[in-house]
Amino acid sequence: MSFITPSQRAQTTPKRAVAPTLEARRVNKSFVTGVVRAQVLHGLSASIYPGELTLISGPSGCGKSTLLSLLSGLQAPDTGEVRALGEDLAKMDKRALERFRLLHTGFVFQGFNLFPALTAREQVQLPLGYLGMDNRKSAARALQVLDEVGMAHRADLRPAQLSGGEKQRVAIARALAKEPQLLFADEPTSALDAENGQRVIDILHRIARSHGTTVLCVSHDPRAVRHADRVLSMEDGLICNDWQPADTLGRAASGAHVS
Amino acid sequence: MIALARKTLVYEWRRFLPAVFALGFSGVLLTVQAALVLGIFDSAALYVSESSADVWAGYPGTQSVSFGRAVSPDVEMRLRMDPDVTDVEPYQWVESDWHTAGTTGGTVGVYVSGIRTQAEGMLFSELLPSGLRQRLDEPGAVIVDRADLDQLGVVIGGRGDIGGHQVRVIDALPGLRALGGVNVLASLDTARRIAGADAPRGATYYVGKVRDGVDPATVRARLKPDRAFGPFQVWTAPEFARQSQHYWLFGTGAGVAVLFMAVIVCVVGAVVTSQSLMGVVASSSREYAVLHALGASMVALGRVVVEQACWVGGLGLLMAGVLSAALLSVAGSQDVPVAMNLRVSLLCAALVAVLALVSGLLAMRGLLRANPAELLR
Repeated sequence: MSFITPSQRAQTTPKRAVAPTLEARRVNKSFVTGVVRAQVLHGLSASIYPGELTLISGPSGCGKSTLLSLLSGLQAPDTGEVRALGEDLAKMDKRALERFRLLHTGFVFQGFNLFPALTAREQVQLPLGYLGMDNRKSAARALQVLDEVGMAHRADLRPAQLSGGEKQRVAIARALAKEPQLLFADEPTSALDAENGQRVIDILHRIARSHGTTVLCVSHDPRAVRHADRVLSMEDGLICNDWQPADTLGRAASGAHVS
Repeated sequence: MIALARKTLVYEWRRFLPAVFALGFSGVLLTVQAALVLGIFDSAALYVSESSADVWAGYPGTQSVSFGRAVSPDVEMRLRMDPDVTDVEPYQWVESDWHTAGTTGGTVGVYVSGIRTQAEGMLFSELLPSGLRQRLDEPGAVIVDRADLDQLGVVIGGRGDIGGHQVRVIDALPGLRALGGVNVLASLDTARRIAGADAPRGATYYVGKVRDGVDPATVRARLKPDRAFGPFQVWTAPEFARQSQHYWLFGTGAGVAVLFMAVIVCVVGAVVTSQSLMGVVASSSREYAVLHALGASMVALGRVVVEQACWVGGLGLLMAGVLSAALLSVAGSQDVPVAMNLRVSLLCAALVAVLALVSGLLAMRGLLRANPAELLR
């Protein structure tokens, strides 16, 4: 892993055949606690591309989850611009943002956050109902996605009857059911054992490759780093390294675009 | 669409129980309170509602049956002059004191109703079984409510004293309890003897029977005040009953007190129910937050909460209905003055439903915690 100096940052530009699906341009974000204002992101820019599992890693408090929340439209930056699928998220009102998330985004969180009363199949069906899909179609779609994450045989079980790894796979299926172009995952493996963590990372990787989905994952799990297509290392609210783990030398990626 | 509200309610029913109980008991309180009010204030009009007379003639402006003043015996003639009035009888109202025989203790205020003793008598015809009315012909014979026997210190067949005149209780009936005193049924002669020198020349009321098929309101409209017969006013039986109840309910402040209690019941019910529901919503806030992140609007999530409140309201209503019916049945068997009608029971049910809805809307505050950004670490 190598670090990019400020002078290098200004010169680096992406060299990709496809346009980025997620872009942050000189975004700043701060939070106020009491009378203290903490600046979390400092004029950060980044471009994320489809068909890749992009990982944001870094120490606690470096701003990686904040960056994820801005790129997914869950929060707005103080200044700067965030574009998703070519649209400026800042120009959308609350309803338009909800609609955008409904149509285009999936989320996987560290906590599985499954409804205790619903079976695995119903958990996956639930968001499809908000898209207007009838129960028969959504049930078929749910089984298909559960099969994709290896959970079809557990479709009729409730969360209390599932292991942590299984719950997370159901959560991934729930996020995937809508066939989102953008999939955001926040520490999806940190509550899982090695085997289940590996399986979840494999699934996220496969989704990016087979569906052309933009998968943006926040994690400090080294297993996730090894399987990512691209890693953005953050520190103190800035991306300090943009590299591809496939490059065994860990050189700074040629497509790095940081500021 | 997956029935999230219903499935959660079924699976996590224990967490919804406090809300169901809160609504159920609010419903029971409202219903029992309304039944007691109806029962108590119905007794203000029982003289009318338990009689078969169609029109009542009394002193102008009388607010309640028990406030009657004597009218001239000519009023009876005026009623009989109407072609559609087929029968007329006097009603003598006397207020006096009851002394238990053989004691020198305190007295009990009684309302003596002097009525005609012939079998075709209209007054209290709904209460008096066949034959009992004629037995009032015996001088000093009286009938009281069975629940008042203890208060009067007498048994059936026992004697007492009203206004210095000895009387004998020949029977005791249910449904005769009065508001603020004890009702005593007697013959017109017995009542006049008790009234003594205070007995008016006419009667407190003259009640009339209207020919079958004729609207009593038409007869009442014809029987306009006429100075030639002395001061009098005519009401149809339902009008006079309603007027008597309304006086006690709204003219005495009792209605305001009841309304105040109902408001308190509603407020307490809404607070407890909404807090219970909000606890359930708040405990699922992370799951709701994920749904919101996935694009479910806050309006859609709010609908889930309100649907849950409606289910809770329905269950609370069911519980209130069963419990209230059981309680009112027990109360009725113990001579507690309770009454219920369809309109009031529907009103109570509507209040519980509104309570559930308001609680659901208040519980939606719990969704404010469903902020997806909070799920990111």
